[in-house]
Amino acid sequence: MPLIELKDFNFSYASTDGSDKTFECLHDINLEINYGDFVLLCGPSGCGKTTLLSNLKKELIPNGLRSGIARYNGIGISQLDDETSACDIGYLFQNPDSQIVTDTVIQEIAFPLENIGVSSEEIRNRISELAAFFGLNDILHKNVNELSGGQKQLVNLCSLLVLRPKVLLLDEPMSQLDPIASYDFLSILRRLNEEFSITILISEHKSDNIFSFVDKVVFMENGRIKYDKNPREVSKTAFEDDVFKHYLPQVAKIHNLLGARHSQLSKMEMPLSIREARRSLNTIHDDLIKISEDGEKNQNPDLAHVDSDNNSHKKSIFSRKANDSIIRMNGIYFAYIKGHLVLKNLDFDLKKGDFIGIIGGNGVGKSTFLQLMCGLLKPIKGKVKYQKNLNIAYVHQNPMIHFSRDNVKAELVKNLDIDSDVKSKLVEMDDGDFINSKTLNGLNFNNLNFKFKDLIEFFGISHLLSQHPYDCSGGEQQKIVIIQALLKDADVLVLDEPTKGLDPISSLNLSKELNELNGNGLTIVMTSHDLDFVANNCRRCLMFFDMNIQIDSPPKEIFRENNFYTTFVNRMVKDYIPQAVTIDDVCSLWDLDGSSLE
Amino acid sequence: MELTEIHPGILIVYYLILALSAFLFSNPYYMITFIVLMLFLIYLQGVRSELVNVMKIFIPLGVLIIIINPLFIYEGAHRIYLWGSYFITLEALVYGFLMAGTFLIVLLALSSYNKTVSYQEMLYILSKKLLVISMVLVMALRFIPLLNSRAVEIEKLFKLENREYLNSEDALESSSENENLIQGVEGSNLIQGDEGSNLIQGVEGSNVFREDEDSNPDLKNGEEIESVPVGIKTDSKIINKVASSKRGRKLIEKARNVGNIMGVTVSWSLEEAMFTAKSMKARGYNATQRSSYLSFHLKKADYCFIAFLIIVLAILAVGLTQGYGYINVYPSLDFSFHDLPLNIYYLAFVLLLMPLIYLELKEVWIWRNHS
Repeated sequence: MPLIELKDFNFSYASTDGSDKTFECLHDINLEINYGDFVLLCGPSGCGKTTLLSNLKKELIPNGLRSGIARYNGIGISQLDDETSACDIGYLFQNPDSQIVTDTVIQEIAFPLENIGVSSEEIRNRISELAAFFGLNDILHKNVNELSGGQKQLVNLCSLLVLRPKVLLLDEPMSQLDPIASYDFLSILRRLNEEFSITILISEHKSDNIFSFVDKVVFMENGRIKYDKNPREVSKTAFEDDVFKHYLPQVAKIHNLLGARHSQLSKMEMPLSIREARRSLNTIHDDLIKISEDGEKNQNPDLAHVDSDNNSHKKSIFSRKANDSIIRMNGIYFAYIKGHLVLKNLDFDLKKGDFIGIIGGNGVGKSTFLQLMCGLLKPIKGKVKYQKNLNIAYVHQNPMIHFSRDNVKAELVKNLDIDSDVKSKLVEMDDGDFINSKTLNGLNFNNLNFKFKDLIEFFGISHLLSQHPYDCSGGEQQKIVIIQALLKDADVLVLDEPTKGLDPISSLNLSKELNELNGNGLTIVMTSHDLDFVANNCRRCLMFFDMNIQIDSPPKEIFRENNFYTTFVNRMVKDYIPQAVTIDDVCSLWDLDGSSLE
Repeated sequence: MELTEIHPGILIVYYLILALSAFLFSNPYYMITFIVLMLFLIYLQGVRSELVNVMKIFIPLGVLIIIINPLFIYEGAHRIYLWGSYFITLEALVYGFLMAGTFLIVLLALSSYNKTVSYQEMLYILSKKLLVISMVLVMALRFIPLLNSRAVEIEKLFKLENREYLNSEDALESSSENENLIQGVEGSNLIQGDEGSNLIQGVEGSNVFREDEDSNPDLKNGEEIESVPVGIKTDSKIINKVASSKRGRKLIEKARNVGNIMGVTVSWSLEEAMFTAKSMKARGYNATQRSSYLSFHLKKADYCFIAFLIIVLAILAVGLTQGYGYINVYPSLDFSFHDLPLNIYYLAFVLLLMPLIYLELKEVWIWRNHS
């Protein structure tokens, strides 16, 4: 008997305005999860992943119509008794901060045990056991505000584990964590699964690390399960799918591309980790060496193109006049607390038209640097100089906090320099009139050739205009904030972690949009943990280390030189073509048909 | 105290007794002893920074009590004529001092209490009887700093939205090309100077409006107010009146900003609170009767402490019934500094104050010998 069983399961949300209308969210879900399975749930945002997960947890079942069978251990999930449901099924949310209820770590971990009325002695026994296993002793009595995001999520996980759950439902638990913290978190999950046979159901966008040890991958689209297979099979079949090919790990993508030419590869087992991928590349070692060498000879122009791109960029940096910079930071020192410097003697020039990606570990001062650059923080020592009347727009990590109006239209016009009567008229218009309104389309921008209407269409938010901004997904909220900034005719767009929590398709769209804006003359500065995104899009990359900018060069050069802190693609093909950083590079150097990836 | 563990319940009772005795023992010798020993205890506990805070509250309030009491109360036998027929009474003056002394002792006892009994221990005591209240307290303790940090983040964003001007010395020297570019920049919500006055924006200048006032005295009021993103409608008469003065405008602007910041902070927090609620529910909150992870059992030290307290309090109670330890202020002051309190009751009083001091001193001694 499967541990979790969904049969012909349908779910539709009740309408929020109290009417009988319903909004269908899950259709004909058939899913069986066995004891000890590690299941990955993928799909574009809004496809019903969260709804599916919360339907498996009695306390979180949303208000709406359910039909079909949903069983845990043979019992209908809504019939489980309170204590079994609380103990056996653990549910972890996205945001590590919002799930913490109390203020110290030990209290937070004790919280669920107190809820089910376990005796003090037993609570302490269970906590001591967990603390020993996860090495929590140092942070046990700390205030939760002092913890990093990764530690917070670990505390949240421990707070579920004290109840000794049989199933863990994890809703994008790593979307707010940096790559190192995600990796640690993932390895803990793996350990829990392997050593304690805890069944895990996790939804996640980034598949590179996770594919190699899951038992089953479930791809969902529009409330239906599209693929439900083991990861190797999925990597083969979903490669043909327009949406889900983006969800596959890079190694599988390259393997599939190579398989089209080298038939012996397609007969082999699909590689899911770098180790397996290197092994499979080894079977066609000679061929690859030959192609790589040929590529260097024949496609010299092409290669040179990559290089000349960099060189010309470099040249263009240096050939420009010194006064071409629009922000100049000199000898910046910054600390939040006395004696703990975050940035030390930092110099930086921002040139017009730059597209900068800032990378580096957690807590090296990337966000601080951005805020100093925008003037949100004042340096302790040193000067930040701006070009006259420079208009800087800053997009916070959490775009939600930019909003203070109750629909998107009002958000878009709220900062415009127009009469407040005109504004309120604009807000009352219906969506079509709003998009075509003369006032808004009459706005001219220095850095954009767009009119207002084009801008809305370009970002594809026309269907959101009447919605409440809080109801939009993270990616959509981000777009709205960017448009707000553009309407104010920003010269510099500063984005803090714009790729955080984005699904692959949204991430792809964002990269298109940012490139277009940059092409129009907008200067963009962003931090990101997504090395692929930086490698694909940015033209200048700053790597922070030890309170300063350690490396300042085009991203591809950085990743080419790096051995550990580099993209998955680069790690995979390093022995053959060390200069390849992204899949596009691999395609052009190995002469593969990359068009199927578009 | 790190090396001795005393049941928090007993400590709470002990501090309650201390606060009570601050009111009961009004003999100045007892009071001075009390204050000196409390100061010594606080010194040993290492909360000297706390002492500054206590003094910040005490000095103004204490002086106020001492001054106000004789001004309003004319009871008492000993009149002191200040000028003409205006007098105050010695009794009222003394009573003012005594009240101030009591107040100081209570403050000192509170700050010492904060150091001795952690709030978690207090929660433990609370959670035995008042489960819900203790839970609410814990959540508030988590929520308040969170709310604060959120407000700080949002304030930063608002700062950028209402961009501030920069001192001219901090501008980049721009080429003539850039100069042209500046002329083109329009359509921002800023309070813009006229085109000739090259205002430069940025970080360092901390006050938008002062800069503005100095350079552009001829700006029109109406324009300025409407150009700023506002939540409040500007057609109210009062607001218009206030807004017509520059200081008032500044004030309104500030109020609006704070209002907006609070608005966003609250909606953000509510949004997040939904997840907190879900997470609590998912972890079985309200499933059964709650328990508490903290547990304390009475140990030998606790029994000694209780026995000690009972003996000392019994002696003090006997003393109080016989008139030792307090003085009568009204109708006539019956105290003279020659009556030294050299008796067993005074000794008991000193002993009452000693246990924590003894434990702290012992600890100092142990650590010193240890290293």
